[in-house]
Amino acid sequence: MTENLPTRGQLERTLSQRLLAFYRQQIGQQPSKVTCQFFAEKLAIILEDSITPAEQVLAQEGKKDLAEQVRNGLDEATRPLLKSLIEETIGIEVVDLLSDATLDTGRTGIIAIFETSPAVRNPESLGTTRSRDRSAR
Amino acid sequence: MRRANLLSESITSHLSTRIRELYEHELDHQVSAINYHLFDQTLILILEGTVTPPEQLLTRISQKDLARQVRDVLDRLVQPQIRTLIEEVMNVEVVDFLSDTAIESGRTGAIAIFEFRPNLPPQTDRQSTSAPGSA
Repeated sequence: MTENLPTRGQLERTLSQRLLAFYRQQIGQQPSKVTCQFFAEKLAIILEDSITPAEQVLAQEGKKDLAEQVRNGLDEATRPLLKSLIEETIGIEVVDLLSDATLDTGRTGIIAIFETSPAVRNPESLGTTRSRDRSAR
Repeated sequence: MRRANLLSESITSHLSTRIRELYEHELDHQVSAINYHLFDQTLILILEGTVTPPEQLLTRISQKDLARQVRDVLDRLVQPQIRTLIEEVMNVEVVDFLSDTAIESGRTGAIAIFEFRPNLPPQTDRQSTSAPGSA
């Protein structure tokens, strides 16, 4: 059964490729690099050079607040589509999608929290979540 | 090839204590759990229970936009300080710090990018969670 499943690395690579195409199609800006890293039921995505030329011009021309508003608007507009893309690729529902970008560095960071860990051939590579809440005090 | 490290227990405990103190000092609010994951030059933090009761109430009474505005201000206050705490405790320079909060779930996620890979002892696991009072 499990031999039909992708490895964690394959899943990360597939998602990275789809994310490159997604950002090119949606905002006309293909990041220069995408890093995906699973850890248990969480996924971190880091996009390099993710800021559009228009936002860069605004920031360079002293309109940083406006550039940030544009970025927030783009994030808001693409968030539902991004969530769907991740869910379709990984095959699990995303319960939280957290996203932020830095205009100065052009870097975007995304954290997706899933209902469960993804089904992969090498689940041991995902690690486990050891969580204690405040009642453990 | 990417290499994953577990933050040592002492570092996560110390960092968690300092982050909790920060929330208590600035917002009189207690964070319920903090989860860490380190890979390459990147530290991921997941903080649970970061949204304050007033924000929760605003969200419940359909004032979500206002709750979001409040959260943006609070995050602008707290996040740079968390960045500084990471630099102090881990003895690294953070070149980028990205963070966001989901008001409904009360979860904050942050990504700290380091200038260099921190010099930490190798571990067999990949991540670490620190609960209150574990320091």
